This record gives sequence, structure tokens and C-alpha cells, in this order.
Amino acid sequence: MHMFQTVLDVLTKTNDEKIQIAYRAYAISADGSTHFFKKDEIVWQKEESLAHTIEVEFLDLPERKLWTQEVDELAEQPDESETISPFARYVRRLSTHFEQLNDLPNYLINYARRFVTGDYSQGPISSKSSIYRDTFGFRKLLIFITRNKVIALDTSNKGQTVWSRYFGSEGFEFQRIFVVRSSTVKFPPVVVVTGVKRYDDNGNTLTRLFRLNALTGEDFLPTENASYFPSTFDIQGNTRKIFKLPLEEPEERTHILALIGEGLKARLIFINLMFLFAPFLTIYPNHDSAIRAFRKFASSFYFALSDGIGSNGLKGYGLVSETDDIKEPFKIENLWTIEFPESEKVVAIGHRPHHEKVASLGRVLGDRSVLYKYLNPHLVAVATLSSSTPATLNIHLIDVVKGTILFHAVHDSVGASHPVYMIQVENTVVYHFWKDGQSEKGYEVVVYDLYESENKDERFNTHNFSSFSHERPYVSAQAFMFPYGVRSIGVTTTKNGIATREFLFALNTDQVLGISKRILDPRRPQRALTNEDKEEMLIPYEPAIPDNKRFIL
Amino acid sequence: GAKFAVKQIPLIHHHLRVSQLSLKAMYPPQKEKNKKEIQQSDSEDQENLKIKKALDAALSPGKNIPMNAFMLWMSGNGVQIFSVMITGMLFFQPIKALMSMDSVFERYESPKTKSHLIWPKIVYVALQLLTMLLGLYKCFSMGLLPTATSDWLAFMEPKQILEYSAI
Repeated sequence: MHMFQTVLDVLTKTNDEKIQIAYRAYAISADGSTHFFKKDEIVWQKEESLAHTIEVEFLDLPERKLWTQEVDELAEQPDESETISPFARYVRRLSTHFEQLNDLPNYLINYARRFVTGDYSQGPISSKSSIYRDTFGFRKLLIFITRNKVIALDTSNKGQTVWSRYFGSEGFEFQRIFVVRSSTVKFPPVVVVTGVKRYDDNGNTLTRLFRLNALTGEDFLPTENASYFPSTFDIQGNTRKIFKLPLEEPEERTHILALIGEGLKARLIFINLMFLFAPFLTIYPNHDSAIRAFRKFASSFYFALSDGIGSNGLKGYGLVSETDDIKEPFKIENLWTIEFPESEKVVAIGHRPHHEKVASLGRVLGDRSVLYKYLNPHLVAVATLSSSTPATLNIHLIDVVKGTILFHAVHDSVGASHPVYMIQVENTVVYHFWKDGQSEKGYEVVVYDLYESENKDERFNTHNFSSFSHERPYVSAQAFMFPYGVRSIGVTTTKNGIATREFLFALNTDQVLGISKRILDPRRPQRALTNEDKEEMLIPYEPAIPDNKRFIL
Repeated sequence: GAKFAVKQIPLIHHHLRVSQLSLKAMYPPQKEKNKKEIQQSDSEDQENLKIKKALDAALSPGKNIPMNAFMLWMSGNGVQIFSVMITGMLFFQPIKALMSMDSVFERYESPKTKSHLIWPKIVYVALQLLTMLLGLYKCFSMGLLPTATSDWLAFMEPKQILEYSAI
């Protein structure tokens, strides 16, 4: 790696005809890190390239435990867990516990130390090989990708860099990062970083996927007995979208990625030769066992593609058949298309948190009855803005598998030049826009709560959930006046999903504001509180969310 | 005149005899029986007395029920220490009484009354259960019984999703 620019500072000191020279140098290297040298040694370094981060992923660290039998239990396949007898399992569990007995004195000492000092984090750990999770899981690795560098920071130890890797020499620009194997099994966690390189002027692009060991940053070497798969993998052409599937390939236990590429297909329609955009699907890794695992899953896999913000519609695709073509083993077909009217453009698509754990299936009301939540994992909320004056904002709740519009709402007099931000979590949709009416001007935040029925204790009559059934949610909505403009909306997620969620707004003033779900709640009553409302801990409705600095994180 | 008197006497005598016969039927003269029979009828009387006393003992918990009901009504619907103590008492006292039921009916037991005592025992058990039922009703009005949908919500399984989607 070469240095872009260096500044050298030389100091001289004369002392009785002896000249002493000292120097210090400040260098900026090609990967965006800066170094400060003094007398042949590096005093400090900073990763300035983090200012241009493209994407970041949190990585949970493995636990410091004996790995053998306990993790074998976690890693066993379903067919093994069905055939093993209870007695054998009990004996296995007992032997694991006997082995863990060796750790007992250490555990007791640590317990006493935690009790006395109240300190739950591990002390500063110097060696790289011993990166472990602490008691509450606060210590994680943050893996950042910038244009040509991958950097991993530790959340404890004041964010020190654990490893970093520079890929600039190959000319790739990174786009996405995926954690394909987390740290719960015996093997180290693995991340896949995808980069795109434009290698000639015709617009031909090459996509390369790098597989890295997430704890050390090295290329991931496959373990023994697993079929070999190279740690860098090339695909011709631009990949339009990459999905991480919940499916694991059986050998390495990594998640399979589905890559949707763009391709132009020539089709003869009547007598005209037309070039149509036809997406094709490849899976990564694409060795035999992964393809076999994907085949079982393929018939229930649906996805939708949109052109993002500013586009005019959504298209939904499903997997139709398999071909013998090596380049394109799975054939996909366009199942549905939603085109919005000419004047409407998509301004926001509700993004969901990746891992969603729903703790309870209903909302308990004050009289101990239940409103069941409408939990549809295929739901996406799309906001479109019309180009008329005054502009209207249309919110559509679309099911991605079938393409139905489950709900449609319209807001009049919306500011056309302000961006709209939206987030979806569990059965809630929250969005933010600028209201530009005659007498009302200001930012507004609207909340939707989706339930299975308006009446209490009523559920859909089905045993399992399919998008092809005709049930519609009941949407209960409420709007609030919001004091700030916003750049992004996020939501808190916890391990078990029990805690009340807090919506995080990244404000235009570069601060983060946290508003609890109890405030953004459509059930807040506009009349005096009854006993049941008090049981439910509802706050009376006020149209304005207060400009309270204490909510700023 | 004497002829008329003689004619009347046999009629009165007939009436007297008839009434004597009916009296005999109702109250057999005791001096006609022997001593053994006297003893038998004595013990029969005592048995009946015992059974009556046993029935009284069996009905005694029933006298406490109205008082307990009133105490529960006065203590209100909230979960307070007094309500909980009263409810607990209404559960444990009947249980203790049912366990010591034999000692209550011990004094009324004799080889002859054993089969007749079953009826008071049933009444006793029923009244104790009624007291426990009162305690259960109090639990229900305090909202402690899992009768509502929300009490079983934590055990509900999420529905299986038949398709997988990505966007």
C-alpha cells in the first residue's frame, strides 16, 4: 500500500555545537488511514475512511465455553434429533456437565469478582485469538465496508480496530456485506462482501464475492470434509439484488445467498425482435449440496424487485422451474406487476429489520381480552407521491407474494420537495412527511397498527398463514405532529422482542431522538381515561409530540 | 225408669270399648311388654337422637357462609392483604375440616348408627365445598383466575408461514 501524501516536520536543536535532529511525520495512505510517526515508530493511526462507510454489520461474538458436546447438541440436524432416544440424550447431557465441572473454581472466582466490583465486561484483551462474548453480549464486532476496505471494530476497548483489510489493488468497489454464519456453532463466523468492478467501457461489469473469516479477516478456508469452494467467486454481469436466504447449506452451515442478476433476453414477439429485461437467479455457494438444499426451498420462494426511490412500480417474481443450464439453473417468472399511475413516484419503501422476534401474538387490552396482531412477513409498505400541486401521498400496504394491495390511504397537501421516510416492524408501520396544507404546515408522523380483526378475541380461521388466502388486516391509524425534520428512521430490537419498542429518528440537527411505542400508539384515547385504559397504561392523546430534549439519546 | 237405664248402658259400654281399642292401637300399654323390649326401644331413641345431633353438627359450617360472604363483599375487588387473607382462609379451613371430618362425627358413631350417618356426612362435605366455592368466586371477581384470552396468549404458537419472500 502506498502513501498518498506525507507531511514531514523536522526539528533541530543546537546544544553546544551538537545538532540534534528529531522529526515527526504525518502520512495519509491509499486506504484512507492516517498515521503519525515519531522517531521511527507509529504514535497513532486513524481510520479516516470510515467517514465514507457504505454498509455496516453487527457481529455477535462466540462464547467462551467448551465446544464439544454442548455445541454438538445445538448443531444437530433435525433427523438426528428425532431418532435419538431420551436416555441417550440424558447420558450425553450428564457427561457434558461433568466436563464442565472442571470450570467450576474459575466460575466461582469470576462470580465473586463480578459481585464485588460490579463490572460485567471482560478486561482489555490483547491477543487476537481470544475474542469472546461478555456476560450481556455488549461486546460485538462492527464490520464496516468502505469503497475498498473492510474494517472490523470492537465495541468495547474504546472501539479499537480488531482487523482491517484493504482490497484496493483489484479495483473493486464494495456494495454489500452479509453475515452468512453467526457465532452460535462450533465454527468461526463468516461474512461475505460483494464488490463490483467495471472492467471495460462497454459497461460490462464483474461481481466478485469475497468470503472472510469474521474474527480475523483472512480468507475463509473451508474445513475438512466440506466440498471446496473458492473464497473469491466471480459472476459476470451486474447483480441487481442479493438476498440472504434463511436456508443453510448443510456442509459449512452458511446461509445461502440468492443473487438476482440483470440480463437482456432476446424474444421474438410477433415479428419484432425485442430485448426484454429478464432477471436470472444464481445461488452462492453453488456446489451440489447447496443446490440440493435450495431445490427443496425453491417452490415457496418469492421475491419482488423495484427500481427503488423514484420508480413507478413493483414487480413480483417466483421460481418456476429448473433447467440444465449451468449458468441459469433456476428459471424465474414475473408473477405480478403493480404500476402506479404516471404521475406517481415511489418515495419510500418500508424496510423491515432483518431478524424479527415477536414475543406475543396479540395486544392485551385493559379488560383482559386480546387484539391479535396481523403478522405478515410478506407485507411491504410503499409510499408514493403524486406530482400534482398540491401533492398527495399514497400509502399502499402490498403483499409481496401475491401482489395484493391490502390497504391504501391518501394524505392531501403533502410537501413534494421533502423526503418521506418509512419503517415497518412487527405489525406497525411508521412514516414521516411534511404537511403543506393551507392552515397546517409542519412535519407529521403517522402510525399504523395492524390487527387481525377490529373485534376483540377474534382471529383468522386458518391454521397456518398463507398469502394466497383472502384475509385483510384491520388498520388502526393515528397521526401526530412532529417537531423535527428527519434523515432516517430506525427501531430498537432486542434478543427476545419483549421490551416495548422505541422508534429512533435521526434528526436534521444530527441528533438521534427516541420516541417510545407508547407515545406513537393509535389506541391512545381522546376521551377521559377509563379504568381499562389505565390498566393498559395508555397515555391520553395529544396531537403534538413534545419537543423534549430528554428523549434525545 | 230402671228398664231405661239398663238399655242405655250397653251403648256407652260399646263406645268405651271402641275407644279403648283405638287407644290400644296408638299407645300399646307398656306393662304388657317385657324388659328386653324396653331396652331396645330406648336405644332406638338414642340412635335417632344421635343422628339428629350429627345432622346439626353437619349443618354448622353452613351458618358461617353468610357471614363469610358478607366479609368478602365488604373487602372489595382489589387484590389487598385483607381480601387475600380472607380468601386463603376460605380455602384452608374447609380443607382442614374435611381432613378432620372423622373426629367431628366420632361422638355420634355407634355400630347401629354407622349406616345412617352417611347422610349427615354428605351434607357436611357439601357445605365445606360450598365454602371453598365462595373463595373461588372471590378469586374470580379479583381477576386472578385464568379465564380470559389474554391469560393463554403466552402459550399460543405463531402460525406457520407457508411461503418465503424477499424484497
